[in-house]
Amino acid sequence: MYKHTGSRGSGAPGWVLQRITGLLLVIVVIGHYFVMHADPASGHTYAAVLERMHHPLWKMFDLTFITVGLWHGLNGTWGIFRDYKMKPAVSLTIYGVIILSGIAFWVLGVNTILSF
Amino acid sequence: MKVTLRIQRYNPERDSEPYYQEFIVEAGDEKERILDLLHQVKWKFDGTLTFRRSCAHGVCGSDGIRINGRNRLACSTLLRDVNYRKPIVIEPLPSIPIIKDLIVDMSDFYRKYEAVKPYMVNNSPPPEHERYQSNDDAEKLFESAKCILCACCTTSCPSSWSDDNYIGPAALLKAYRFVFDTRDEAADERLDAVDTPDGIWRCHTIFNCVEACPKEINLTWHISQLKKRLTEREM
Amino acid sequence: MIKHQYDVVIIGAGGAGLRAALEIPEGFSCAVLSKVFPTRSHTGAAQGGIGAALGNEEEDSWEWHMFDTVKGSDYLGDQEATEIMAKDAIRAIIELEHMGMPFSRTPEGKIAQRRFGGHTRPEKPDDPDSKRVAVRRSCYSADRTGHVMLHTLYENCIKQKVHFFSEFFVTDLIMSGKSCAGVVAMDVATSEVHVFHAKAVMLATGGYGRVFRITSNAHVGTGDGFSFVYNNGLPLQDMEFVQFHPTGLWKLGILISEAARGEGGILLNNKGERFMERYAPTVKDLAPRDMVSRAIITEIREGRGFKGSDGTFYVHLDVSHLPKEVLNDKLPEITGFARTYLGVEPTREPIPVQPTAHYAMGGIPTTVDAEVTRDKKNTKVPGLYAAGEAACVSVHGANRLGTNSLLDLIVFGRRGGKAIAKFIKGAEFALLPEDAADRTLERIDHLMNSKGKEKVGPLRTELQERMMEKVGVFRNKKDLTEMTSEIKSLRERYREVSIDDKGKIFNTDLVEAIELGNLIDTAEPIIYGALVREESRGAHSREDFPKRDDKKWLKHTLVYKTDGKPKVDYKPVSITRFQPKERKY
Repeated sequence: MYKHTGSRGSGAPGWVLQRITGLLLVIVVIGHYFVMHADPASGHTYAAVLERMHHPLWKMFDLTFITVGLWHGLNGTWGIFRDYKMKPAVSLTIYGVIILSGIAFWVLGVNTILSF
Repeated sequence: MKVTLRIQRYNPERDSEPYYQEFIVEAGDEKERILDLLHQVKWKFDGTLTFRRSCAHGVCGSDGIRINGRNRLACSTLLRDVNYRKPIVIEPLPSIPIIKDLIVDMSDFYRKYEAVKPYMVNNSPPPEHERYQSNDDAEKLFESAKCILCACCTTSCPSSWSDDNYIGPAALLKAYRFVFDTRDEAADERLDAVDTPDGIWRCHTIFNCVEACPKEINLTWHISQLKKRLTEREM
Repeated sequence: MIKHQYDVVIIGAGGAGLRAALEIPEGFSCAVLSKVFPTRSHTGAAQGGIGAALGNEEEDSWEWHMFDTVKGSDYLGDQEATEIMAKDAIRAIIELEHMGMPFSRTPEGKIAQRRFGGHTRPEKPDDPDSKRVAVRRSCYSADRTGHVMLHTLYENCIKQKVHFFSEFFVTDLIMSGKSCAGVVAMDVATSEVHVFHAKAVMLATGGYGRVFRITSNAHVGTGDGFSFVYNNGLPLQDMEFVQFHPTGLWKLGILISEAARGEGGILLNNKGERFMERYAPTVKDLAPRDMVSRAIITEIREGRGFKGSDGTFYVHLDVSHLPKEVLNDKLPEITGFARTYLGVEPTREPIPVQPTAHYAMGGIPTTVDAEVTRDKKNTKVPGLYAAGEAACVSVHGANRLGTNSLLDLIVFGRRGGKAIAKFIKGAEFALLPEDAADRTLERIDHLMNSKGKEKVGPLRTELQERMMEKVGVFRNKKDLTEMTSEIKSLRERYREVSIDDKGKIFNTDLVEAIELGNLIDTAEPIIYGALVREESRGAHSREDFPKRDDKKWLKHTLVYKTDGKPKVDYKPVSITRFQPKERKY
């Protein structure tokens, strides 16, 4: 019927994934809160951060956090843009910016986490 | 009792843009229908006032209009349902093209309705008797089959406002009506028709459609059932 | 002016028109013209059900159905046609189900059926003369049977890619000699006049309820088809038989289905008496509609009605004793109407009801294959067909039973469609007269330029009020004679009608003005039919002739338009299985 930017497949996986990542984020955010903010004294020393970042489980935690967070946030942002009718050039640009910034932030984040 | 109607007027042969005109009409009591008052204007004061109507009791779906900012049927809205001490604002359904006064162009709405294959498909040879169906299965369809295609829901939906390609709640409801009919065999084709970038995923469960529906159909629930069915199918 | 050529043109997209359209075979062009979008048609307002002797809930037979229909018609229904309808009903309902119509179901998953006025079976099935009791014959889908049927038929038309012209208002038939050659229509969106040249035309234009003040009919029920036929020198049959449905919502006339009584609702007068026990001791509240309407008016006349704030009277329909599930699951729509429009809570309070003009038993005379006939010898009008409420086959005779109207639509709509399919294979297009659209163009031109003092609204109200007063449930010579001169003067005043809207886009002012002309055209044969028929039969009740008179009046009336007084002729009734008997319930 109309031409669209973005995935041509079913919208169902994206829809479900948005909900699953949302749920995961709630859990991860709670974890993040307890580690970083609940006890201001514990998490904020250089040594404590360094120690955590060396621990493989914490690496997994951070990798999940950044992947899930980025995907959820950017997919949501694209969803908001997608609700509006746009000229193909505009939507392609926005889509491109979202994809590229997603990749860039993910590479930056993963690189940071793995460098410890 | 005197009531003021503030009606949005637009005659494409004369006006460059819509404007409002006030009429003071006489209402017998607060059980009078808004449609009766519109008729009073047309038949007594100004024959040029143009609107659709037919059955006048909420079963044909002709007279969906916007009354004090809410999409409703003129024939199912009584004076007591609105604040009639202030001028009652009457406008055409929002977000679709106005043809004249309260008449809007419904062709896009009907096109989307047709896009979901709104008819039963069953290619197996029919038995001599009826196709059996349990009453529970039949009643699952009744709420969706109540739809009168008045377009109150679709034109109240923010997703429709921002993207007029969005298929809209009315067409999705019609898809439900057949996808969940145990006698139907074309559920997949219909699911394909709604599983598009402008399809069902543009529904963000805003519930405006439910609030607008004059037949009290819980559209969002029906759309959710379709989403569930789609995720089951795809994953 | 735009010209089209179609093998078939169907006017009206209600049950009959849509069902007929489904019969037009591939390879032939078919256009369906409707003055509203198809699903806005009045078929959708039917509530209670559609009759067929399926026997899903208890033993039943088409012969009993036929007998009830003949008896209900007060023996004026043509039995040949009635037999066809009662027999075909079973196939027709199964077919609707196969088309996808959602029905309420029995525990075994069959189509559910319920009781309805006038539908009976012998108490002892093997003794046809035993006392008759109410039978479950009405197939239903809650109380939205007409709505789901209309939608199912429209859906099947989409599937079959039927070509619709929505919001095309037909204004005239095109006659070519003795044949029909097409129709003239106005595209409401642009006021452009279109000529449709066709081999076959079907009138499925519905009824004329809007001739009366209190009616259950939609605003579009303006008798257009009757007017086309009448103005082209063809007769209208049995027009005096107007069904007043006993239970219209007080003041508004909105239909409260007989299903309310079928499920156990009862009528009460101001003394709290269940008065139908006196008028129809066996079936009581489930007596046929004409009898219940008369009973209500009689109660009101004898001082046992309730006086409403508008000065009119009503009685009570009580459903408050029914279980809540019955009201919510089986009668949701009508309980909703009572709540919405009158603020009455049917689970606790009785619903105020009064008789409301509901159905035209009479209409355009046709054969059992929906072919329009022009005289008492049933001479056919080549190329012209009619079905549904617009037609008079006649299966409903002097009074229609509930559930038989939806049935009539699909049985005779289909037969008409089949007859047309056969006809167009052999027929050529009749010659299209040069002046085909002239009458319509003149009419539009006159209304658009008229500076007369009359206005559509007040004139129509006057017609409706006079008809309600003088040609209502009870009639007499004095009122009817007065009405003949009233209608003459209304017709003269109609010439002086002017409209406010002089535009071309959606000029509904113009449409309503033309419709008013159709209403006046339709009222005339109703009045004349009622005046000449000096007896009481079915829905036609003459105070000055309170008895049925089979010797003189077991015949159909045919009314023709002339320049002066309409001409009346008569046609025999087909009687095959059931000899006329006194009609008692």
